[in-house]
Amino acid sequence: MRHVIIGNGIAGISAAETIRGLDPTSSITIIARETFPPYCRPMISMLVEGSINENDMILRSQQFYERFHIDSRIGQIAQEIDVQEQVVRLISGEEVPFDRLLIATGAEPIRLNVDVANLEGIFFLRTREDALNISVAAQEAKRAVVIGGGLVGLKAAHALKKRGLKVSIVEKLPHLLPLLADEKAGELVERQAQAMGIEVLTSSTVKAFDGGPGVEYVVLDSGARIECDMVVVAVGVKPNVSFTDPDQISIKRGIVVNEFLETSVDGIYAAGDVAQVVDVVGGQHRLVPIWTEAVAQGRVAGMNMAGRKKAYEGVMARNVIRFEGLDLLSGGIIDPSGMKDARVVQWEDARNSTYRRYVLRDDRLVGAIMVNNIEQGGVVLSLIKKGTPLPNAEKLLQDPSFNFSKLLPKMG
Amino acid sequence: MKEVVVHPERCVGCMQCMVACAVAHSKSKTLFGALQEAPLPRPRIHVGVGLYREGFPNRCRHCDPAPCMMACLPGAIYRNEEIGAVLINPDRCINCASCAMACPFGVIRYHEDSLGPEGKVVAVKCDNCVERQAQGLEPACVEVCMTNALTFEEQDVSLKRKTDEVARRISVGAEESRAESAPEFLLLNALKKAETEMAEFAM
Repeated sequence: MRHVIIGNGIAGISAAETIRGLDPTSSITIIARETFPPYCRPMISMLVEGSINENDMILRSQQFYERFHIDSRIGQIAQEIDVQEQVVRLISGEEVPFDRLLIATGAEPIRLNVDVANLEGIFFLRTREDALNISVAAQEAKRAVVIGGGLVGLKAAHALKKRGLKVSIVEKLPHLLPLLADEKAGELVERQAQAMGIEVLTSSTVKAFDGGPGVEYVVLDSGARIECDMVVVAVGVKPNVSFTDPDQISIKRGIVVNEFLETSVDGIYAAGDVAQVVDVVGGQHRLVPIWTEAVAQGRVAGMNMAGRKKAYEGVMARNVIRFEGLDLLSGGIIDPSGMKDARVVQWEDARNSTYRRYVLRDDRLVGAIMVNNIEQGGVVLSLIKKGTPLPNAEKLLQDPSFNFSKLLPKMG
Repeated sequence: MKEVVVHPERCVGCMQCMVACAVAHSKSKTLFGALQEAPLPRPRIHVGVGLYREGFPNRCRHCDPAPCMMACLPGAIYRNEEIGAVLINPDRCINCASCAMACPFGVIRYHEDSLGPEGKVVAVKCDNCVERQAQGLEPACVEVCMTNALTFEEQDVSLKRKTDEVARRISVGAEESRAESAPEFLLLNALKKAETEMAEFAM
C-alpha cells in the first residue's frame, strides 16, 4: 500500500504516525511545502514577541521522517491531484503515485479586498516564516496596525505591543473575538487591550493603504487615516485547496468528508483546517480550523487509511485565549439567535472579574463563554459535546463551587 | 501496575489528601518546611462538594488515550508507561490552557509550581506521585486517607471486588450489598442527604 500525505502540519504528521503505528511496512510519502521540521503553529506569535526562539517550536525533530520510514518531499508543492491515474503532480514536475491519499494542506490567510499596491510592510501571520518576517520588520517599526480582532489578530497585537510598538487593532464587527465572544466578553477583552495600551477600533473597515515603498497609512471607511510603518492582516483563514479540482473532489467551503474523513473520492481523505466536517452540536458541516481537531482528525484519517475503520465523532467549535491576565474560553453555539427554544443564562461577577454566558436548549447545554477562572472549562465543554441532560441546569451552572462532583449521580 | 482507586461513598471531605499532596510536591517534603516555601506548594487533588455536600476527591484519571495530551500544543504532556501516569513537562508548557478545554474532569490548575521553573506559570496536575513511587512509597493522598476513600491497588483486584459486590447485590439484595461496601458511612451520608433535602424544601 502506498500512502501519500500532502502537508506536514499537525494533521499530516498525526496521520503519518498513526499509519506507521498500525502498518510497519507500507510506504508513506509526505509532500511538504514548509521546509522547517514540523512545528507548533500556535506558538508563532511568541516568536514575534521574542519570548521563544524558533527551535522551541519544533514538535518533531529533523530525524522524524527517517525514524518513521517516511519518504519526505520537503519544499515541494502539490500542483494537481489526478484522481483517475492516482498520482499527485508536483510543481517540480515530479509525479507521486498513491493508493491512499490524505489532503492535509491546512489553510491560508484570507486576503483583504483592498489593493495593497505592492506596498512593503504588510504581513500575514500564519507560518514560521511570516513570524520571522514580522520580527525583522518590528525591529525598525514604531507603529503597527493589526487588521482583524480575532484570535490571531489579538495575539499579533499583543506580541507587537510587548516589543514596544504602538499598536492599533481594526475590527470590522462591533466587538473583538467575534467567533468566540459575545458583546460583553468582547468588551472585557477590549478593555484589557486598552489597559495594555492597544488602540481598538471596532465597527471599522479598511478602505485602502497609502504610502510607498513602505506602508505609511491605513485608511478606514470613515476616512480616518492611521499612520503606521507595518500592518498585520489577520482576517481569518480559508482552506488551501488550490490544487484540487472541484469537479473531481467535492468542495464546499472546505473539502467535504464523510464520518470516516473520506472525500467524495474513494481512497482520498482530508483532515485538519482544509476539511469541512460535521459539527456535533449544530449538526451542520462546517470549517473549524483548530489545532486539537487537526490532531484528532489526523489520527482518525490515519486509522482509516491503514484499514482500521474508525468514525470521527465530529467537531465542536471552541477555543481559549490568555490575553495579558484575562482568560477567555468558549465553545459550542454562543449566539442562539434563530435557534428555537434556546435560553441564555449570563452574569458578570465584577469582584472576581469573571463573566459567564451559558446557552441552553431544553435541559442541555449547547454553548458557553467563560471569562477568567476557566479551570472547569473542560467539564463544561464536555457537557456540551456529549449533550448530557442537566436537570436544574441554571442552578447547577450558577453554583460558584461548580465542579465535576456536582455531576455525579445523587447518592442513596 | 497499581493505580489509585477513588471510593466516593467513603469520602468525608476532610481534605487531608490535599495537604498531603501539597507537601509531597514541596521542596522540603515536610508540612512545616512546605509552609515556608515560595511559591507555596499547592495540591494536585481537589476535594469538591457534591450535590448532597458529600466530598469527592477529584484527581487526574491518567486517561488512555488522554484528551489533554492530544490537545497540548507544544507537546508538553506525555505518558510515563512505567507507572501509567500522564505527566506535564513544565519546561515545555506554554500555559496556553488548551488542556483546560480538554480535561472533562477539570483537574488541571495553572500556577507557578514549586517543582517547576522559577517564576513561570505552568499547567499543574496529579503526577501519580512519580517521585514517591520511585522510592517504593504509595501516592501521598492514599497514604494519608483515613477512611480508605482512596486506595492504591492493582486494577484487576479492585475490579474483582466491585464485580463480587454486584454479584452479591443480585443474590442477596441491594440494601445489604451497599451496607457491605461502606457500612460506617451509611448514617453520615443519609444525614447529609436529609439535611440538604430539608434545606431545599425550606427554600
